[in-house]
Amino acid sequence: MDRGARTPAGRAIDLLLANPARSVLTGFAAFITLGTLLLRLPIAHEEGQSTDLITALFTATSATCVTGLVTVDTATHWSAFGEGVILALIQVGGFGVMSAASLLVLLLGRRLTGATSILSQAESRAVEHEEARFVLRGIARVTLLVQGVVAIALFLRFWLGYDMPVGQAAYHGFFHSLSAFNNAGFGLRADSITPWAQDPLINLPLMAAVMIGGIGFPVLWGLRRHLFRVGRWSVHMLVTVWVSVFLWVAGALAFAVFEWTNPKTLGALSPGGRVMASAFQSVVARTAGFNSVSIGDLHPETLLTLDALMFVGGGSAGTAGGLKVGTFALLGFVIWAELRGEPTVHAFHRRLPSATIRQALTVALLSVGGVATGTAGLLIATDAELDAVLFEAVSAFATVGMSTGLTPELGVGGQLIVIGLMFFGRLGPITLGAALALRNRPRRYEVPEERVLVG
Amino acid sequence: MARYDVAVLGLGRFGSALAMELEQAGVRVLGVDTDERLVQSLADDIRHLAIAEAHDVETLEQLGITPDTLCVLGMTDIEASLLILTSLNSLGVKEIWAKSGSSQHTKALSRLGATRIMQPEREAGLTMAGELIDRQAKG
Repeated sequence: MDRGARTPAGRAIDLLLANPARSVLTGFAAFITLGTLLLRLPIAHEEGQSTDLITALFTATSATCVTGLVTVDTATHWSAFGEGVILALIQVGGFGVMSAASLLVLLLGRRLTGATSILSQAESRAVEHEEARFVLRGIARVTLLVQGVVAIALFLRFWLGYDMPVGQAAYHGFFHSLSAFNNAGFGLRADSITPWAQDPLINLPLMAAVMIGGIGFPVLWGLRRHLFRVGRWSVHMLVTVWVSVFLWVAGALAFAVFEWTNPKTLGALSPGGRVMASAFQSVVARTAGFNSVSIGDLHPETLLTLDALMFVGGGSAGTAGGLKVGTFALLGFVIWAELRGEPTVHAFHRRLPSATIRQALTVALLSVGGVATGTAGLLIATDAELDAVLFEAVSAFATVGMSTGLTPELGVGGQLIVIGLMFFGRLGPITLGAALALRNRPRRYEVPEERVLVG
Repeated sequence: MARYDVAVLGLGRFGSALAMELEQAGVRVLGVDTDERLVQSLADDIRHLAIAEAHDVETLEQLGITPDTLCVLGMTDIEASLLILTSLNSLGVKEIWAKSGSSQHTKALSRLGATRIMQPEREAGLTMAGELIDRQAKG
């Protein structure tokens, strides 16, 4: 036995690698259960409120899966203790999903490429544990650094710009910073951050936290090493960064064009404020889920644009949810190669392995199926229109947390569907990706080809 | 129950003719060969085909061969024929029929436990000799 296996972290790593899907799912389920129990305690809610089981379960799932959908108003329903529980769940959920995904990427990558084959099994396990600790430390550092800086920036603005008492300003700064970095989108007001829609000193720190948390640890790590040497970037970094930038810009443009004259949303703001709100809404759609304008008053075409942005989501092994930028981009490269009649799929002068392409297809199509099933279920469970229901389902599945206002009106059945969407939307793509990558039992035979007609 | 009644390993002229005939007779037959183009060319006539180097037990198991499958070794290559026969024995396959190319091959096959061995050239030669002798006797 090597030293690493006896520490709790070492055991957790061994467990994670032995069966990634099961350990990640049970880990999250355990935290959701714990959160539900804590939120049910009488000290978790304000006096005069009461918390039933489904509300506690919904809130705990939403926090742990860093979604941000709420059936009760966070600030008025929950006590300081309750909000503390929610913050802790968000932190655990965000850190948990980021580190689990990063470790799987790192360690599976090593095992699949056989990079450790010259080492004995005990030696390679020691190396794995060493690297895993290194990654966990890195994630913890990034988390503390970004959350700290953003919290201080927000605190100063709330304190100096809005005459909040020091304590309240500090709490607002801390809460929103943590919620933003973990892409949770929980706010302290029923109308999220609408009052500060035109304030760049609130918007920009929040957007920065959402972007950094959502782009994923592998990209952050790569950026740290080769920030200004784009030539050294890995294909994953290039794809994630450029497609993210494209989606941020395109989403903001589409949002601005569709909503510019809507008096209930952008129309009420100054021209500068409209640009700010468009950019903000495009960034947080992937997949933080604050809102600086009223989502319920958006045009249907805007909702559909946001649906698409939410569904794509953020970078792999980050706090963002959704399909992930890399998965989405891979499918784009496949289409491009097919249209040009090329035998293999290339991206940035590298060939993409066909196994990766099949994984991307599997994750994407199962996600579409999940959202469609959830939408159908919600349509049965509520009286709302398709656009609101689809938005709710995508928001839950991609763990965004924006809502047209449907969430508080959901009955128990509808809430259970949303809970399921949040849980499997948060963990499905990661665990499925890892499980698919691990299933590499080589097939020792092949069968003859036969074509099925396509199109 | 076994997935296949008969597995034909090696789909040359001998093996492919055998497999096609069995297929048409409604026997559940699996055809295996290492040559991808050969296997592909039989795809229209035989339902269950596989491209594999079936030398080891793991591959044979993955192909769905069980102790109850009757296996026919259709290849002339002595090395491949004997290696597969050994693996089939390890797997516990009860009936193994084999084609042989020479009398030494026949000897080796029978030592390793093949249950029925056919040496087509020799048997065809003997058959033809029989016909000729009949004709001589009549004339």
